[in-house]
Amino acid sequence: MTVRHFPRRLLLSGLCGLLLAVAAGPGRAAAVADGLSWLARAGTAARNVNYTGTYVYSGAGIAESARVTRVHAGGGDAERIESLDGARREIVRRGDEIHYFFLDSKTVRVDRRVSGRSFPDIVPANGAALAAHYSIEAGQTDRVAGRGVQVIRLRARDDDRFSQEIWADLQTGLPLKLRVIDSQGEIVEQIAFTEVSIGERLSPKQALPSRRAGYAGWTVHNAIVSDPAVGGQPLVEPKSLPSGFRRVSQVSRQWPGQDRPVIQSVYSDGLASLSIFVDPDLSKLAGHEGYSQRGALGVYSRSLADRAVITVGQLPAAALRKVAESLSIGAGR
Amino acid sequence: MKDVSALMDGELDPKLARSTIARVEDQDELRAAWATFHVIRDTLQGNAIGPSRFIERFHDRLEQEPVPVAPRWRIPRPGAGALALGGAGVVLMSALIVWMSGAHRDTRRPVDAPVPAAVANRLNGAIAVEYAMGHRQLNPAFVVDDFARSSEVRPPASAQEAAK
Repeated sequence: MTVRHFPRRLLLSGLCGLLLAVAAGPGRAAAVADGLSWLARAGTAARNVNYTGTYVYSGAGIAESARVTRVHAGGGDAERIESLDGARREIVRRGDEIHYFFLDSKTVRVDRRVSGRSFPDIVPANGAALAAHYSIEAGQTDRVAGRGVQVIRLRARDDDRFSQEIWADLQTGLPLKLRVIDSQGEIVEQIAFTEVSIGERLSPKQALPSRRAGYAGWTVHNAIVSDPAVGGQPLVEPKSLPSGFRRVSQVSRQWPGQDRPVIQSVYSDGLASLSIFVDPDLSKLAGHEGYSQRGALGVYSRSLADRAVITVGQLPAAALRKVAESLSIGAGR
Repeated sequence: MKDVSALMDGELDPKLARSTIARVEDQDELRAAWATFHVIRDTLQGNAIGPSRFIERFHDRLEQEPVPVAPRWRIPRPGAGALALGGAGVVLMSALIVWMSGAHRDTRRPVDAPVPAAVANRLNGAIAVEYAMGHRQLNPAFVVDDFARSSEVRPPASAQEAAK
């Protein structure tokens, strides 16, 4: 996995955000400065405090609840997410290593975190950089899961990304609620804690797989094959990306029932992200290409030469489509 | 480490001693917890290891904590073989069922789909499951058991309620 840093760019973006704020007048400037400082708090909270609680995801008319426990200890962190609805699923993450336990079908999938953050760890460490692509300001105070929270609004500066609202815990800064909003002001996705306990001393055991019995007869699938490079295979590159999107990682994945690896490249503006999957099995598309969406997540599949290319991301339909249609096969490396 | 040895020599002031003890406890607990997890994983991968090698590997891991590059495929359990070898069809079918369980409530907006939207969305949905999971790795709403036999796959409770 390759991770790129743009410290100078981050600094410039932060300054840019502050300048825009000053230009907008004193009241607005205060809201923006507050927004940026709250964003900074939200950006570090999840990576510093333990938490355990239940959240509800809702998007596309469906709702699913899950219990999350995250423990920091011994210089590392671990997280367990248990689904509370439907088929029993449990996700255990330790650092970047992810194990999916599918308890009904006795299957484990081993994967590596490549696509960045997930609720409530949604804000990057340097949130100020987001000011180049989102107009950020502090909103009102509110209550979520019985705790006082501060609303942080991130309004998209263009139509290439969704706006977001974050409800950050007043005490710790931990995001307790997230809303993803489209350009018409419709909520496309929401995740919110219904109960949470923050900053308590937790045992790392609480972030372990809950099943203690043996695993005889279980099936294991390893989803990650290797880091990028991908032995001379030509890379598929987007000619057009929403502004501020940079490639943050690239991996080669093993798909179930398929020999040849799928290359996944992940791009992000720091908040939203998209993945481009290049799948050598063109027959998967079976000639049917197009767009579908679930919550804030859009999926656009198309063929490119003899490959299936699937663009997946939390982006508005038109923006995702623009990326997907700009794809071309690069020279490789 | 310096604090720990100072603690053992009784040379730490009480406040620092308490925090050092807490830290050591934390780390011990973490190590023990992760040792358990490694045993689970090793068992899962059919690499159950003996006690002597276990300690060796345990110490290696404490030093390095690498993400092991595991073999690509395990031998599937009997019955799952057909699933694995049967290829994308079966996998996609079960995936399709899960995805479609909420599909009638999806806000799908076809963008100039070259085939009728309903068809494109259904097939796209089946494909989308794997990719959606690969992208939103830690959001359970997108984590779907693509290995499950279709009969074992149940739609989310919310979708069941919605279907009533």
